[in-house]
Amino acid sequence: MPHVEMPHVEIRRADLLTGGAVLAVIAVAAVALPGYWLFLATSALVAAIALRGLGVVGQAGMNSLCQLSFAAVGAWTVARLNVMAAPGGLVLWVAAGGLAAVPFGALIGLPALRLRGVHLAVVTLGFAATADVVVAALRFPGATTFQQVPRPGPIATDRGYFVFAALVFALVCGALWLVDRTRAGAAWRAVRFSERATAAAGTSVARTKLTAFAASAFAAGVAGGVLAGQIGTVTAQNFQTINSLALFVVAVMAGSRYAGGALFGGLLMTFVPEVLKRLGVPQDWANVLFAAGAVQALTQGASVSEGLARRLRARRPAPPAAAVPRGEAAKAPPGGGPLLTVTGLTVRYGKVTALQDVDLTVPEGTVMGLIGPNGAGKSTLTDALSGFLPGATGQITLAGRRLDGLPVHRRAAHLRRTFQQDRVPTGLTVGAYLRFAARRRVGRGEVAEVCAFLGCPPPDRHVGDLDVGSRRLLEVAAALLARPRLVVLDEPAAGLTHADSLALADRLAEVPARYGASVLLIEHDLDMVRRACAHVAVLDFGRVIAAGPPAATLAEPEVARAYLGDEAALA
Amino acid sequence: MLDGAVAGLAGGGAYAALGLCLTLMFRLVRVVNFAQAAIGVIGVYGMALLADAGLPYALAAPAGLLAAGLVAAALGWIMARWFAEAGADQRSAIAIAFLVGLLAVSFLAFGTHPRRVPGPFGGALLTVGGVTVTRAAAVCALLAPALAAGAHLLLTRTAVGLRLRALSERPTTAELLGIPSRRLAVGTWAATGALAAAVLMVVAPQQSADQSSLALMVIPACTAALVGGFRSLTGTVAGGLGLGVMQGVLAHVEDLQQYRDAVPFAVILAILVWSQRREVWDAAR
Repeated sequence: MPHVEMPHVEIRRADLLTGGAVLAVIAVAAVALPGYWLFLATSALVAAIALRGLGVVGQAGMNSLCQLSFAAVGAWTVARLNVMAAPGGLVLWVAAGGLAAVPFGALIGLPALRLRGVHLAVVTLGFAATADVVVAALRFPGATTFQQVPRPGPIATDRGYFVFAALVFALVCGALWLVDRTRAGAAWRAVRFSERATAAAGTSVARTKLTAFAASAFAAGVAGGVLAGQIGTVTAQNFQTINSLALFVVAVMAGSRYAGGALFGGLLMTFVPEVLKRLGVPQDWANVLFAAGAVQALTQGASVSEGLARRLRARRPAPPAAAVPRGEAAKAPPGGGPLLTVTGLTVRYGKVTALQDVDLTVPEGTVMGLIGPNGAGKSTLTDALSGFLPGATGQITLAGRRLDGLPVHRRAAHLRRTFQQDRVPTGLTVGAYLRFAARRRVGRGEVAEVCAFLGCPPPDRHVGDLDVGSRRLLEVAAALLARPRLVVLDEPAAGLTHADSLALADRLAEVPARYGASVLLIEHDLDMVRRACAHVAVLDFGRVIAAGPPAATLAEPEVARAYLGDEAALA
Repeated sequence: MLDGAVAGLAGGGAYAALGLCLTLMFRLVRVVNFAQAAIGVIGVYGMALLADAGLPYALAAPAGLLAAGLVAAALGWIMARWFAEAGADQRSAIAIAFLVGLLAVSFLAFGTHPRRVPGPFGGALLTVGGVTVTRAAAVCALLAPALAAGAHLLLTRTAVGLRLRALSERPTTAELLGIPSRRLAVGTWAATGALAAAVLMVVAPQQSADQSSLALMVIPACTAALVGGFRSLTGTVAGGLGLGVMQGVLAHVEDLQQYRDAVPFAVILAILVWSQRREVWDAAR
């Protein structure tokens, strides 16, 4: 039997509290609410399911304005299966409706691979308007003949159907809660923060965005199916563009990343107009309130549920930082045969040649330094090695494997890099980030070990609460945890004090023996390079001008001239 | 067919002109103003309300423009007051909230029933070889390129234009140089808001003029702006006119008639995905 990997699930108190509160509200409602209110509450659940789906796309940093178009696909599927008298009944049809919406979600996700931000939002809005036209032209199956969608025995009554809708909502939220704790869920949050960092951590940005849209569309499709069962015959009116926009506005206001937020949003959308009606106030005030609420939420920088979650988090005391055990400061071994071989690597930005015929060899099992003045092409080399420059020419071979031509996330299986800029996703905890970046199953022990080795904060801290220096160490830890053959560190000590830099140098010198990876260290701090590296290569104006053992190489007049200018070298 | 294409110029010109407002807003104040047409609706319905009350068109129309300009200025002030530092994504999300809220306000203020909108541009202008050119089509088709040229001249030849460009390209540097950012931003909102109202005042008398469909004219306008990449004024005008002509032509093709609002979107999406097919990362490095 194949070994099935279970996602690493951490149950936090806040999650339990939210889940428990949501279930309690639903249970009380199922027993206590009178008929009419129960119908409204079912509508609230339908909206909540769609909202929770919207939260997935939002979590991945994209704005989708066509959520109800996906819901229309789900409802259309249910109505069609009903007219066809398909086997299985409503429960299966709802699932089928969700699945039918998935390809549409992926289709809308396709432009997301190239268009970002507002441009993407415009495309989703265009899709919503198009769906309006198509739905109005096609008409819902059975709408003209008033063929109601039948509800099977146990959910035939309004009370039974409310419980059914609640179960569907709980299932959708539970499933997304589980996914959230896997690497796929972490990828959604990481891609929002930085696409480059996501790809460099070995995750396909394309797949991440498409799965986010697919999951979101699935939830919307399910919501549409449940709606079809609730009201019997659906019409195009239920899924108009302006309603999708209102859904988006409520999602911004209430926050739909959490089950509680989605439910709150659903309740708002259903009950605010109802209360206004009973007060004799025009129902249009509801949308004015939602718009004001969304603007207010954005001035706070967080939706209602996010603000609440943040406050819950702030109340917990921060645990003390783990003590760093001191190891033996040992210089890296000179290393064995060649691990990385770069030949004739050339990169041009327009007329500027950033790298010119660079030949470079990093031996196995060692730490190699790459130094050079500003603008020498060090970061360009890192980008070319990790695959961010498809226009680069030349050969890159790592342990006998050709890397050139591979996309970034595939190279990341063998070669990891860190960034000069702070690119650790702030939406994750330390532990979740490390597991996400590892791209393999890692135990608590392994995570704790690498954290202790580099002096990283404990796994339950939030990345957003850390200082820049700690984030850079965390990035290095994540790269090591992925067990690549080569780690390229782009100025990992920026933001650290001199003493901390030297401590990091000692740690890096141990990396080959401890983790079986060679290190290519790009650094300005020559003390750190001398301390950690067995080899040094010097880059200037896009060419390698010297390479060899640190002491001898740094003493070469060419190197001094590159760093200090002609006069200093002659003096 | 030609008839349809010419008839489509009215809509196309409106899309182009509204698209120009969107492009200018995006370039100058970093927002895709989804509420652009909704602001215009306030002006058009305000004008219609005053005209119904017996005010002559020559007075009602400027009053409508003023109303739209004031509403836009208020929204712009909210944006400049609380979201000056926010990115385009967040500001655009706020614009969506503005759209939803403003449409509701419009229903509250003017009622949910569509109003008859008076206008001086009804009827045919001329008929050449069996093809009728309506006044509205002529006005819209000429208005859009004229607007683009005017905006171009304003931005490149005047002191205000220079300040606006400085503000859009380097907001912090511009502010450090003493350019009054909030005043200019609110002014941009007000000007484009009044402009949107003017455009809608031309087209609203010719078509179904309920508030939702007028407010959602921002969608084809967005599509036009997207053709210009939210940067190019010429691209936006071409996109808007092209979209309108395509819809006009499709209205005469029986099989596609009911999908005429959907087909252009699919075409433009295809163009976009093809033109953006090269992999681009989210940050320069």
